[in-house]
Amino acid sequence: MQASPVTELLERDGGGGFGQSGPLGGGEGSGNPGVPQRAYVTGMILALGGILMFFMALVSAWVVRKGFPNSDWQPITPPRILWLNSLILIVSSVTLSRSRRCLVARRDEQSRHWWGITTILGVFFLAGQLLAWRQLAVAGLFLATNPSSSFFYVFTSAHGLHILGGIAALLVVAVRPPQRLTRQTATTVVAMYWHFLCVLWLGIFALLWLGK
Amino acid sequence: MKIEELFAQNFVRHSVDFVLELRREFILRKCQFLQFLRTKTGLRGAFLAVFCTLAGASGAAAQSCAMCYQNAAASGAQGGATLRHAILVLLLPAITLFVGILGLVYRRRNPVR
Repeated sequence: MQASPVTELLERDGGGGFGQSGPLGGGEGSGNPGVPQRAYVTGMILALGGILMFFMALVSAWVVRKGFPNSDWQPITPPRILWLNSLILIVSSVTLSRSRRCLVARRDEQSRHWWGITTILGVFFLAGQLLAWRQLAVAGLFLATNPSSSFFYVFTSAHGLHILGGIAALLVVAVRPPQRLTRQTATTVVAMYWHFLCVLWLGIFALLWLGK
Repeated sequence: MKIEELFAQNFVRHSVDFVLELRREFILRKCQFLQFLRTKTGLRGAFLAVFCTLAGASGAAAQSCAMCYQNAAASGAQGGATLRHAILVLLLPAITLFVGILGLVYRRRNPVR
């Protein structure tokens, strides 16, 4: 049976054992003896569950606010730049996957290269979101204009804040990897978070477009 | 030593022994119960107990906030459908997460050797 990239990375970390530095670690992230590296992955899964429920609560509120009879809901058309932003986020997810594949194949330099591109694309995505907000503001749609625009701002800002956290994590892993976990584990955990945010954005985007 | 002092000392010693014995017994029973839960019969029994508890509490599910009920009832058929959809949106991921975490815990129930 072929091992998945996550399993492969964790096995290189010491089989979910005790944070031995991998060959590509280069002394970075020597790991914390006693804390299995797999624990960080489990922790991230739980965190993603929490984030998912937060957004689902927002979606549930959106469903009620939009669907209730005699509602003052006025549909808005999301700015077209969101299509470009979505594309940027999808591409960033692909580049991050490539970075991890390079790390598995022990091509450290290429891995860092793709990692950097992912970070830049993340910044571009955020800039695109700000541009979308600007376009809405020019059209006279602000946070308190109507419930529809309020939800648009709330969804995009909540997701944007999470993306900001993802960019911070990407930078931290690239510049100053945490000591507690190995570079491989850090890469795996950050990649999980980033892919999740990408899928989450696609869901939010579909909701904003199809549910308008 | 006076007889009262001797009595008090013995009383305290016996009381402490009794409490320690109770504690030992409790820990032993707890371990036995946890071991039993790890067997197939124990697991089935636990699931059956949870199911029976939930099934028996159907009356509790019918209770709700009177104001919420009035609001939902006043919102008509469309409002009711909206509420049902919103509840499903919240319920499905929560159940998926619950089952997923339960599955994860069950798969990793034994420590890594």
